[in-house]
Order: sequence, then structure tokens, then C-alpha cells
Amino acid sequence: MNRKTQSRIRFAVCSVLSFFICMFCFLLLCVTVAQSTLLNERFFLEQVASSDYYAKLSEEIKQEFVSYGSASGVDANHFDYVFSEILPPTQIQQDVETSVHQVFTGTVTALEYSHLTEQLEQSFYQYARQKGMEISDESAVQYLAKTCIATYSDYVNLPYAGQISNLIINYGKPIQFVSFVLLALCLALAAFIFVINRWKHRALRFYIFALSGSLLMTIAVPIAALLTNKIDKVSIASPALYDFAVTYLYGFLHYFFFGAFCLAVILTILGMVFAHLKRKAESKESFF
Amino acid sequence: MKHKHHRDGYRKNFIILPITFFILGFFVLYLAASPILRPMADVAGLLFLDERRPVNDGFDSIFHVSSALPAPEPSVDDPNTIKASTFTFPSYGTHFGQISIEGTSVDAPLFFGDGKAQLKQGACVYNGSHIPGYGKTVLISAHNNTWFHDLGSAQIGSIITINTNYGSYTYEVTATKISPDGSDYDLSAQEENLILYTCYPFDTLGLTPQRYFVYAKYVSGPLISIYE
Repeated sequence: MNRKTQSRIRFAVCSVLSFFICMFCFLLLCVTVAQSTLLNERFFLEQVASSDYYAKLSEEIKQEFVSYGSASGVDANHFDYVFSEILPPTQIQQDVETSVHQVFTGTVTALEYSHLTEQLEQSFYQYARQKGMEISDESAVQYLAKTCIATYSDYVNLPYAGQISNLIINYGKPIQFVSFVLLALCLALAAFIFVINRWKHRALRFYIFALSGSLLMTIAVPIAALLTNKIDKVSIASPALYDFAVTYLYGFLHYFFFGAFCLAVILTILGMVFAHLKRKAESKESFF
Repeated sequence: MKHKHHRDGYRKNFIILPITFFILGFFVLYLAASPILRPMADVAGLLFLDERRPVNDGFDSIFHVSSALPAPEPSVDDPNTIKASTFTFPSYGTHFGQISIEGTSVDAPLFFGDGKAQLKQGACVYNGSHIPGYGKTVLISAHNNTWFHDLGSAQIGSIITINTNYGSYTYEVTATKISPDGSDYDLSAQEENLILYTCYPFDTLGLTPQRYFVYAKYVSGPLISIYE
């Protein structure tokens, strides 16, 4: 086998290995993005805060309470007091964050709201005294307070919390193992390419091919998602949950752009090293 | 020349190979993952609408503009009925009429659909019942603290007037009832009739399962020919 044939075979083998590095690198990036976003409690709470979820949720819950009040002889303006003294924004934020924490730690349980029910009930009695209303049936007032707090509980707890928690716990640990395996495979293939190429700048060009392919694949994902123009059309009736979902999805896609940016930086460094090594190799060749 | 040709081919690899990897990569992923992802994508498609969800705290009204529109055409077979195709059927959440009850202070905008946003704005037709003129039961509710606060003053023989975007209807109260659980209504009746209901008792604090019902028979108004 002559040198030209050997060179061509080596090029073909390295190209195939480079393709696998490209695939593994892309999958590793997807796994890393998933770990940083979908499986990350801090990211979730950041998106909740960015979408102004607590204030919007408070307003939605208040409208529910006003609706119950309209069926129960309670004026709408009484609930301004309820949402400043009994269920202030800090209470709602605390309860939502507790619910989120439960989902990400796999400890989803019903939160205890009996103290809030009691306070709400007392506020209704106070309202009746102020309005000079006689309470003929205390069980009706208790039922009103319980119904309001049950609605509050439904709103502050994440929808499908149990199912989401199971997914997070079931996929969280294996995904770390998968990322280690993908990284190991990338490094092993890269080491093999490095070893079989006498001129090391030639090994570097295969890394550049692989990472360039990964970069294109990484950047295609968010661009394709944005071009479908579907994110703003998510079918969620609650305005607070809708704004949060849209913010969350855009935040998730931004991590792909960030991953592509990191790949671009690595590629730039590799490109500079490649150019330097190639110049060195060419000058060595011309010397000999 | 040969060296230049070799260098050009060498440089082209920096463009051709990454693009080839990109196309081949997604093709391989598609082949490997489509049996799993395709059913999930089908389900995910149900989570998205065709248009962006309207962000509107107000409501659409076809009642106030109805006077500017041509009147519904009478049916060929019976001049006392109107063709369904010649007027705008109210969609969920639309203001399409006004209801008032003789001898009471009940005078409320009428909406199709009884969600909490609609109940805040006026009296609401339960969207599982029918609109006036369909020859079936019209079930209307409103809050007892606001729009139906005076429903208890409706007497047997009182006239209920419903003006809609497609015609005016009158009904006569035939009975009233306090229901212990709110189930005292019949949507399967085969003649035009009206049922109003609200929470009970009036002017007391608290939520109960009791409901106050007012039943009324049809007196006048254009019936709708749904096949025209």
C-alpha cells in the first residue's frame, strides 16, 4: 500500500470518527442543556421571576375569590384586604417556591393551609360585623373559606406536579451518567485521531470538522423552534401560567444559543492553534 | 497548479464536511428517534393553538352592533321563524343580549357561556343549553350578590324580556323553587322554556349548595329554523 492510499484511508477513517465526535458532542450539549434547564430548580425559579408570575398569579387567585364572594354576599373590595394581609405576594411566592422545591426533590405532598383558612374565615366574620350582616349559618362561611383556600392551593401548586417530579427524579441521575459516557467517547475518539495522525495539525482539523458540525446542529435546534412560530401559541388558559410557559420555553432555547457560542469560542481557539501548528509543520517540511 | 488545486480541495473540506455532518447527523437522529418522538410530537401538537391566545380582559359584543346589521331573514316555510344562517350565533364569552324581569330590578347584559369572567359582567347562558329561539331549554345564571340580587322578587306571571342580536323574546314566570343542591333543571325538554337560577340564600354571608330557580314558559319571539 503506497503512502497516498494510506493517507486516503486515514482521512476516511478520521472523517468517520470525526462524524461520531460531532454526534456525541451535539448529544452531550443537549444533555447539558437539559441538566441546566429542564432538570434545574434554579433555572425554573429564574423564569418564574422573569415572567412576573407571582403578581399575575395573585391577581388571578383574587378574581377567583371575588367570583366566590359574588355568590356569597361578599363585596369585591373585601378581597383587597385579604390579598394585602392574609395572602400577600410574599406568601404566594413562598408557597410557589415550596411547591417547586417539592417537585425537584421528589417530595410532592399537600401543603398545610389550615392557618390561612382560619384567618380567611375570621376576615369574613369581621366583614359581616362591619356591614351589619347577620350570619345565620356559620357552616356556609366555613365552606366559603375552605373553597377559597382550596382554589388557592390548586393555583400555587404546579399542574401535574407528581408526574413532572417523577420524570425529573427518574431521568436526573441516568442523565449524568449519559453525559459522562458521551464525554468519554468524545475524548477517546479524539485521542485515537490524535494518535494515528503524524502531523498533529491534521488531527486538529478533524476536531474542527466535528465541532463545526456540532455547532451547526446546535444552532439549528432553536432556529427551527423559533421558525415554527409555535411558542407564543401554547394552549394555556391561565394568563400567569401562559406568560411563564412562554418565558420558560424561550429561556430553554437561549441555552442552545449559549452552547453554540461556547462551541464557537472553542472552534476559534482550535482554529488558531491549527493555523500555528500548520505553519510550523510547513516550515519544518520546507527545511527538510 | 497541482499544489493550488490540492490546497483549494483541502480548504473546501472545512465547509463541506461540517455541512455533511450536520445533514447526516440529523438524518441519523431522525431514523433513530422518530419511533419514540413521533407519537410525542403528535401529542405535543395538541398543546398548541393555530393562533396566539387572545390577550383581552374585555369581551366581544355582537349586541350593540346588531342594529347596524341586516335583520335575520324569516324562514320560507314559516314567517314567524328566522333562518339560522342569517344571523351571527354568539361564541363563548360574547355579549349578545340583555335580560330584564318585570317587577324586579334585574336588568343585566346577557352573555353566552358561564365562566367566571362572564359571570362578573352579567347574566350568562350555560353553553350546554340553548340560546332563545331554539325551541329547547335556555338556562341562565348570574351571581346573587350582583346581577340576580333581586331575582327573588320575580312573581308567578311576571314577564321576562330577553333582547338579543337576532330578536326579542318574552317569557312568563310559571314557578319558583329553592333547590337544595342546584340540580332542579331539565335540559332535555323539547319545547322552548327559560330557567333562571342563582345562589341562595340572598343577602347572607357564605357559600351554600342551595340554588334559587325561576321557571318561565315561552310567550313570544322568533323561533330559529336551524336547517336554513
